Amino acid sequence: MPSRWLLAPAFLAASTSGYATTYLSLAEAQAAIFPGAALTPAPTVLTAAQRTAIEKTSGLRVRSPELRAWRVAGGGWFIVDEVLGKHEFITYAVGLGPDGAVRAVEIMDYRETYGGEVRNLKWRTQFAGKTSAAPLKLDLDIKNISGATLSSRHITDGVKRLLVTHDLVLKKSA
Amino acid sequence: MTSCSKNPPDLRRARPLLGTLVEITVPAGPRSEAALEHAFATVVRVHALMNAHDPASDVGRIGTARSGAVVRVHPWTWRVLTAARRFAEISGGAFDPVAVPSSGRALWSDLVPLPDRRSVRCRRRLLIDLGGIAKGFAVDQAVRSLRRAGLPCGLVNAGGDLRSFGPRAWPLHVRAAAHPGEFASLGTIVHAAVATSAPYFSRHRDHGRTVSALLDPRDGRFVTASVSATVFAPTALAADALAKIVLLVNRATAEPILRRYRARAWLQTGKPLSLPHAI
Repeated sequence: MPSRWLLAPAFLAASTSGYATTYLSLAEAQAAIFPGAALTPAPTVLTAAQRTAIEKTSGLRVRSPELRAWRVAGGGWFIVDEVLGKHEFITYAVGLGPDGAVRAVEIMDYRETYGGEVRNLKWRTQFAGKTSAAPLKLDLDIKNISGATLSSRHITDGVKRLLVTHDLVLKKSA
Repeated sequence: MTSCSKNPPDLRRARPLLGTLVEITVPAGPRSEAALEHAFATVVRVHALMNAHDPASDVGRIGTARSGAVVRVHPWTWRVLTAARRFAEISGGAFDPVAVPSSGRALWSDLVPLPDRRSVRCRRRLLIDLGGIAKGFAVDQAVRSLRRAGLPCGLVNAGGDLRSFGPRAWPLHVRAAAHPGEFASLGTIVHAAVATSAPYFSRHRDHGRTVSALLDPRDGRFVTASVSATVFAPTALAADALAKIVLLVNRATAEPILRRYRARAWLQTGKPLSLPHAI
């Protein structure tokens, strides 16, 4: 019987200048959150006073004054936002119902950045008789990563900031 | 009929749930959108029941119960608590959802699931953290939901704890323990669950010492070395819990536990290149 305990040889560097996945395009995200609804672009530039007010109420930094928002026919908002983690850059969409409550959050783009070095794909591994020598086409082939849990706190904070933005700015523009 | 091949392309969505990103991939087809929604709803339900930050959740209510109290919980919570207790028992407390730093002297044995499958008795005041097992359970439930919806194959990945079903072979990658931005291929998985435990994302300095989300409940020490444990098991719940156990106990202790759950472990020790002890 094979051992149930496999010690991996150390990685000789798999490589990467970054792992990225696109889940949804803008049109796909809009259709996923508000299927069949008419969305009208309502791009908004926050004033300095509005930014300060949002930061004060939410306790979170407003990185960009530009708000990528769409008005939903029949009430509600569709907003595209970005958050930066230590190593990840995430674009996501939030749908707010007519009552201002979160209807859905969908990740659109996920990108990791680790300094951009590219190393040789010379690592080897032995696992259950399988070896993988084929060079990986990064950004395309790396999927289904088993790893320690990456926190979603930045997205949770982003959604909180957008709810305050809706309360202080968008709701009043309706 | 939805085909299991990659043509047409997959439907792939990710949402922030369970404190991480939960990703579901299924082949596109007439029933796929609805099945995906239902599977995400299942994860939302697990999140609502077992979220330690919500005082109204099952886990939150256990945290505020008096010593000796019986707390009514959802059957899912009961199942996770019962499984968690079993992992605590067989690992000699290396896995312990009760022995969190803020739980005082309470241990796993102070939380007793009752035979009605809907309630637990708290023998002391205690706090629980199902972070090491609830994600796996949520993945299992989401997979169950997708299968019941009639999808032929799919994959659910909750922040690195993943499970696939159906005949398709899915490529699997793990992060390098010392350089989490780098990946290694572990080949493909067919109808299997995998989870990895490692401190690389949670490791940080706190009051002058290095801490992480991986705490050894037996001595209160944090795992901070560049190590990782990947466990393959029949269910994501088992893989999730076993990955923590394997990281904390020695090989002689881990082997029989892995055998009992028909699981295998794959370790990165962080040491310079060393050939595998055994395959």
